[in-house]
Amino acid sequence: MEMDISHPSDSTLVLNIRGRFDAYMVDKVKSSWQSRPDIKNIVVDLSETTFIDSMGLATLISGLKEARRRGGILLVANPAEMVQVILGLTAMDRALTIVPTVEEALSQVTDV
Amino acid sequence: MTRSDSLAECQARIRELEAELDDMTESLAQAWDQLVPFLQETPQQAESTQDIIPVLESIMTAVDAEIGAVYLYPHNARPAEWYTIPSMAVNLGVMQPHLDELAHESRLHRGHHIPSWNGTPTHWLLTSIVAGDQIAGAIGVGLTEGRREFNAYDVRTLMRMTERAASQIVVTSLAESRAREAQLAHEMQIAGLIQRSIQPAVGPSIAGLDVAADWQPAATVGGDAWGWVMQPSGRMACFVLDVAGKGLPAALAAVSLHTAIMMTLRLDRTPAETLGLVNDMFYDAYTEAGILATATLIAIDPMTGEIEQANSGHTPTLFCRSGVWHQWTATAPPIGVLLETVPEPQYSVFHPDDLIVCYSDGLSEIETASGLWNTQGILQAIPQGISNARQLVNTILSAAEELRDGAPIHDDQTMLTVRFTDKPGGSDA
Repeated sequence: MEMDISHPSDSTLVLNIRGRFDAYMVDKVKSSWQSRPDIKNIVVDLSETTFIDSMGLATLISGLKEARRRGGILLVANPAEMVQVILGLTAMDRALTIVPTVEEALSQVTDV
Repeated sequence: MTRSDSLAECQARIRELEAELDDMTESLAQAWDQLVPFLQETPQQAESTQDIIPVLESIMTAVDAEIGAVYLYPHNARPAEWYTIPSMAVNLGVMQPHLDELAHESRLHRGHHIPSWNGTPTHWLLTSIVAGDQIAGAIGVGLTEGRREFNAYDVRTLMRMTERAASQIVVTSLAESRAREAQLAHEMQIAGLIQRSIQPAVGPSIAGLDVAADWQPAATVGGDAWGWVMQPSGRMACFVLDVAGKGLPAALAAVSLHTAIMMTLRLDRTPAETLGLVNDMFYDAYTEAGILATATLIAIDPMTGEIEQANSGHTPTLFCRSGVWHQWTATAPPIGVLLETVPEPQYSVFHPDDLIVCYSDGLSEIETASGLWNTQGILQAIPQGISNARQLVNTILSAAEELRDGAPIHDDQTMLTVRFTDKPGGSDA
């Protein structure tokens, strides 16, 4: 499990989570926006995520709520097939905005 | 050079060395005088910079330094600490680059041109406080620039006495960590008891329904629970819930959610209404705590066989009729995700020998050689011709145990099965 962090703009954070997104990743993922109060928009690239468990889902929701609180949004970009299945089975796809690519996500973010 | 000149030069050198030795002996005696009481009186556990002050004072005296400082990195709940003698002699900000260099380069760092409180440039000798295999902080001594350079003796004294201080910090760390572990184990034990207390001791015994359930706790406390209640309308309602996370927070959240669901069902609310109400009830608390929970609720009228099922983010409910398995997937996200969300209920009418299976992700997420066990794996573990609900639960849990091959359970495993029978009193749960 690994994570890359980039900041396409001062207010936008892009996280690329590779491998398992589970309890072991939670602190690292959350600290990426908790340590940056200036971040409003969060894009989570799950294209290389092989599995997401309930703690990973809870972390996405924490990010979603925090982004909204700051006046921004959280977008999930290009989830891998396994992750898509989990998001569907848990009906999380009704709560999260899922877009096909990071570029698409960033284009939506600039509209905020 | 004549022989006598050479001899005189050697004698002069000997006198110099003797004088140097006298100085060193005197310094050593001074250091020892300071060190002995320190060794006898230093508290067994250094918990802050204040406890290391005697060491710092001793080192300053031993090396005849004008300024001394102790820095401790943040540790557990304790913030970073910075202490100087004299007080506020040097600002931490101006020393920080040197502390960073010390942390990266070696056990010893020499810093020059470091301004003291009044701007006077000072030079420093800094060494790391190494506690166990971690750098716990740094101790340093300073002199006004131009006064003299620190020599090898100063270095040795600083390092030796700092090692002594470090050993105290090691003791502290061990004591802290043992106390923390004991506290954690105690909390985990309580969390386990709390979670166990909400699992029903027995399932319902209702004519026409055969209900069985099991809950296997994880090695580390999880947040699963199941329950059942008879509703005023005569329906039997049962459920499985799973709070994401582990430990005391998950156990406490499971207890409160379990209670809320039981109370709401007792008020004759439908499964979908119940999930909507508890979602609104816990939304703020879950948002604050950064958690979520999933749940599947089923209400069955034993007289008519009518079933209503609602699922908020939980694993699919499996429904078997005439040997064919169907899945009822979640129609709302987990509890705590969206405000004012009510899952769309799913309905059916039980036929004799129909089966319902609810399970938690502790079962579907068991790692197998070919990936996760998943719903398909669970279905494959169920043989044809299951004759009662208990047999179904035991069959699936045995298959799960075989997959684990003796490994500990990483997440709670909960399973609830219902079989409709046309024979009154068919329950063996």
